[in-house]
Amino acid sequence: MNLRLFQIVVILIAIAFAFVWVRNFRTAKIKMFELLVGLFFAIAFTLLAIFPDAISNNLARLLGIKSNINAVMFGGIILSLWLNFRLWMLIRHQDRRITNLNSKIAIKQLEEDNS
Amino acid sequence: MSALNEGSQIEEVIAKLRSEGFEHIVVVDDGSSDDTFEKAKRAGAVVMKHPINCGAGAGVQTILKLGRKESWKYLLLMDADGQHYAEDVAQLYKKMESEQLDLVVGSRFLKNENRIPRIRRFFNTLGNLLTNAFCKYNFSDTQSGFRLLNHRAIQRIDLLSSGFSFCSEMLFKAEKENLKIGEEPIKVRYTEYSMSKGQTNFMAGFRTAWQFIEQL
Repeated sequence: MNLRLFQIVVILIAIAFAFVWVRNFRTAKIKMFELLVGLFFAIAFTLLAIFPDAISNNLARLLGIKSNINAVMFGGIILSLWLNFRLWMLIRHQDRRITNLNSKIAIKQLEEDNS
Repeated sequence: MSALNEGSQIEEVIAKLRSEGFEHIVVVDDGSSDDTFEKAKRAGAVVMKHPINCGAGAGVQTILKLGRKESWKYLLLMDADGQHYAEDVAQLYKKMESEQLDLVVGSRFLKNENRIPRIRRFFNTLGNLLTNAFCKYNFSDTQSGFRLLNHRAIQRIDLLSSGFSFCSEMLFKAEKENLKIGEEPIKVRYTEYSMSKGQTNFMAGFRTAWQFIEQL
């Protein structure tokens, strides 16, 4: 099997990301679920880099899309939308936590001033 | 009152409320960069300060939390920019007591003599359309900041919106909690100062609408 330069680069990036995720999990910076999702994507991108035609053609057939390039682009858009949604949820959650913290600090400060 | 950089108005607003006989005035300084905190305190209000600015809704959330903690019987919410008239509180209270309501919203649009600028009328109409689409009752002023809540409403309405969409969210949640809601005409005055506050452009209005949809 002859791997071209772009395939080797993708594989190296995926390995680097997998390494970072495992390290972050071991230092308790991320949870098991996040590690599994990260590893899933690293493996998926590695496989896509090694077998680009086979995987994209099968994906196109599975989704009923005529061309494998369109299938890859479609997959990319879906992935990007999903990541955006996750980010939006995270920001919303953080926003609520900050608001809640703000309220608690304000009320605690008032109670301390009164006591 | 939730206040952000209202140093030039806050003392006067508090003084007017005190002259109407309101003793327990609570101001949440939502991370102001001016002397709102000091001036409100000097004017005799109980003042809380948010370390950072989170939005008008965040200020109301803090007031509601304090109200629940201290088991307040009533809570009047109003804008800190001097837009509302303290003497209207009595009408809201009368309406609440006579009709056994849990939440009374002061409506600017039920009083014909109010001179509401066109741009405000436009944004409020959009706000009404959006909010009423999700509410059972058809409110004439869903974005009014002048509201009277009783003990039941204080205990049951738990807001999530940190921005101006808290106005719509409060009505939506009150209906969900089966609280009795009513409206009462109020007077408002729009000055150059009050026009520079609140939702001043289309993007801000769009953001508020989006925040409300997020909370549904």
